[in-house]
Amino acid sequence: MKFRCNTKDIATAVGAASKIVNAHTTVPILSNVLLAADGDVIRVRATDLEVTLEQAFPAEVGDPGSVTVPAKLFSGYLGNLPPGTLELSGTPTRASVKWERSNYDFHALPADEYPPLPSAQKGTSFAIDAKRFREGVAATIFAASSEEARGAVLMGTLMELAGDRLTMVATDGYRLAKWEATLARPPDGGATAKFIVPSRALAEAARNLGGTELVEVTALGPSGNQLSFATANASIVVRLVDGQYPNYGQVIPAQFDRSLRINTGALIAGLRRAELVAGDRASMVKINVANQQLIITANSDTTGNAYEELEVEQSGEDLAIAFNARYLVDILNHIDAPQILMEFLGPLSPAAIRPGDDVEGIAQMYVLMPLRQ
Amino acid sequence: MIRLLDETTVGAIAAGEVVERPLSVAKELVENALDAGATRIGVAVTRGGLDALEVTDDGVGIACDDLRLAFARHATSKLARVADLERIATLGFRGEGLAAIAAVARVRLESRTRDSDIGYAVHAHGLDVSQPEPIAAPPGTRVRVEALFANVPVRRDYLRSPTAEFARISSFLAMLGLGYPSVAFNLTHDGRTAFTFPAAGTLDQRLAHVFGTDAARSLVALEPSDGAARVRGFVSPPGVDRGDRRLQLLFVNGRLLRSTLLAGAWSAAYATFALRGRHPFGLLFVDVPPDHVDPNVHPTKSDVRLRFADAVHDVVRRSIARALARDATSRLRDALSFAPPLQATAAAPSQDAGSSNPHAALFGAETSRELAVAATSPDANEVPPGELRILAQLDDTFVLATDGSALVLVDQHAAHERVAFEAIAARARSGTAVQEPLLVPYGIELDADEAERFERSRSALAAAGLEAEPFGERAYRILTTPAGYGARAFDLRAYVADLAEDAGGLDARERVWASLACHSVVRAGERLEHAEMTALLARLVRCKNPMHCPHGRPTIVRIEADAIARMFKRT
Repeated sequence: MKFRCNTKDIATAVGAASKIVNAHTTVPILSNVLLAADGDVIRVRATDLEVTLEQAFPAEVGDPGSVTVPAKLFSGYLGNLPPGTLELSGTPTRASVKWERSNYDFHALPADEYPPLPSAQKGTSFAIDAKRFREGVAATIFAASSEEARGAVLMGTLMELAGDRLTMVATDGYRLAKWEATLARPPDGGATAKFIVPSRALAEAARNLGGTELVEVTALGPSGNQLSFATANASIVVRLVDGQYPNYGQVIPAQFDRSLRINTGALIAGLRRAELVAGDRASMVKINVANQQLIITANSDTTGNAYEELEVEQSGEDLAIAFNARYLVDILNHIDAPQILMEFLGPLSPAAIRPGDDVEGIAQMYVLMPLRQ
Repeated sequence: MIRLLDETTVGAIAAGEVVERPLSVAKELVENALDAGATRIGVAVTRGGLDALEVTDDGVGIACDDLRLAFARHATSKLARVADLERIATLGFRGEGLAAIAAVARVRLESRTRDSDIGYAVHAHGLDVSQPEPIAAPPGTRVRVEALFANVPVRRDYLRSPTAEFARISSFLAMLGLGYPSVAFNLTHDGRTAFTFPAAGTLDQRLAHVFGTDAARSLVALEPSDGAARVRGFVSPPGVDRGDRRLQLLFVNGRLLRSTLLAGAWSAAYATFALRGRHPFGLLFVDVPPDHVDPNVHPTKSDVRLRFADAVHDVVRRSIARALARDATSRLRDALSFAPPLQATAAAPSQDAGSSNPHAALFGAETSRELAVAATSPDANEVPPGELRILAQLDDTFVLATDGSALVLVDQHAAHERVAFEAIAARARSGTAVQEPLLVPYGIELDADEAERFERSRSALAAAGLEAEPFGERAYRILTTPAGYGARAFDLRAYVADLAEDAGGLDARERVWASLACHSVVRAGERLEHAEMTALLARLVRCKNPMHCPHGRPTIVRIEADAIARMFKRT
């Protein structure tokens, strides 16, 4: 194979691919990226067998064909090239790069040993606005579990299809994020479906599927156990988590008996300061609400006491409740609204947190369990 | 064809249970001497006791009329009726010691009571017991045993060399001597004195003999404690330990014995001090009312059954733990000498919390109390003045400091672990553990063994903040986890597996705390700022047991300047 291309195009594609590659793999070829030249595009593919990323960029293809190169090494090399044009020629064992007056040979592995793309058998398919998709991913995946001991299901994010709505849910067992949006193109016949997608894969998808209008989502494989996220020039294929996602509807209280409207920035800042004092005390802050005021306190025998007062719009009875400040701040940081709405049902039931104002076509909410002492 | 065994054979069989080797003979005879109220006991051994073993005492003696009866089986002066078995205060009571010895050896028994002018002697061998003959003798009793196992060659084949057999006798007698400081002991082998313990007020000489001079000096004395049992003794401090439990000497009501139960209590007290596989040593005297103990479990009386065993276990564990905590504080004073800078700042808020602070009411009453306790805690005040300068961090693992006369090395992970462990434990004990309830309870399934172990530690776990409820057969749902301290990463499965490895002594709550502490703290290989190191040491110093992490690894090592001088050959 042989092609000429822009150094920036290839550096971007190989750089993204090298992030997918698992550095500690025992299968040597999995630490390589596959470069395939065909027509007037180069496709760059990388996989860790869970997630497969494929990107395309335009090039002047001399001889079509494929080559695999060690991902980290090649990406490091390309990252150090100034803008310009390079020429790459590949054989099963070697990839040679010519750029201006430099010549590099990289050891390669035969491209036909590279894992093939997953089965092309297609199932449910829908499309979502790309910007909206990235927002949904950002709004939810942080709440997923990062503890392998708690199981792969909670490390994933649920994508649930019903009619023309997509609901994404993530929880680590202590807090829950839920985000809903209208699809740009609903699945045929308004089919319902549930996918548990590894949260890391969603993060990769959100990062790599930019610059276009729509993300096409398609279930792949005979049992629909893979999901492909595709734009015009990039696609990510993800192996789904097999399992039963907790019935999240059950943990969201059906009704609340008091609510607060609070300035988001002021609440975040107050919680952050108080959390410094809470320190090893499980980041526990106490929140007291009375007379349209919210008082944050925290204390620890090693650091001292904290006290913060905020004006709030209170409706319903007074309240004394305790939270893990870090969790609460984590949630607030993911709400892009000047005001938030917090709803409660006593000091022991989960509290709900939402943006203060509705956004057309989107519903975002979080549920957080209070601490108990 | 079934026959009744003749008396000689029956005697030999019974003796087999009691008289196993020369040590058994020495043990029976010395215990008899102690029961007779002797103040001086001499033991003379010839060729490891294979040729002869003689025990002389100055006790009450045996009257002429009773001499022959002493060799009858189940003849004893120590027990009259079965009810007496309920409150045995003497070492012997089965009434088979001398009979058993005579069944397998030639025995000469000489004795003179204090109110008699002359003594009498009898010979016994098998069932034959001679008539008493008058002899000149000092008050007391002398028993000479010869030709042990001459009629049981098989038994003789199982004996080890005379030196080895004597070593057993010697170590037994020295250990027993620890229990009877007011009795003088003398032991000779083939005419040479092995040791002489004069009657004395303190145990120093005997402790040094049994444990070795250095180890004996390191022993920590227990404060006598009452309760279900009176506990006294000496235990090795953390870090001074052995690979086996042989030197865990235990006297229950004056009887030297092994007790799995109390060994468990001993280990439990060291749970957060000793490395796995290492064992503390020392000497414990546990006294319980005679009717609370049943020594009649085994012919050699080497184990006992205790009534109220749990209560006794608890008293023993607590009194050892108390002594260790006291010792750790004083050893810290030796290892470090500086005032923690955090002391002042830690005390300040507590005064506010109590009175002037306008929002003090918002902090629960418990919190204020806790702060007050922290401020007045003796540990915080006992830290001596001085200056410890932090020099550097070594290999991102150790903190190097000096007080001018020594290099002080602190393992940052172990130190932080200890700090976190104590904070967690204090909070849990005072009932202020914060729980993080789960929105989505998560289930675990255990196998039968694990489930059984887990069930046993479930209430202790709940006290530490981890609540679980049964959810079908051998399945549980975790409802809350302890808040903070990285508890979300707490691997319950590994914890349950851990319980299996050392199910005996360890307190389930402390294990949870230790696991939490381990998960939440700085690791080795983490760069620390100067201020972080200062704060870490200051907090370590305020711990109750600052010298060891909860898993028993040392936190602080001190290298004296003169030790360094030796490295440079400057001595």
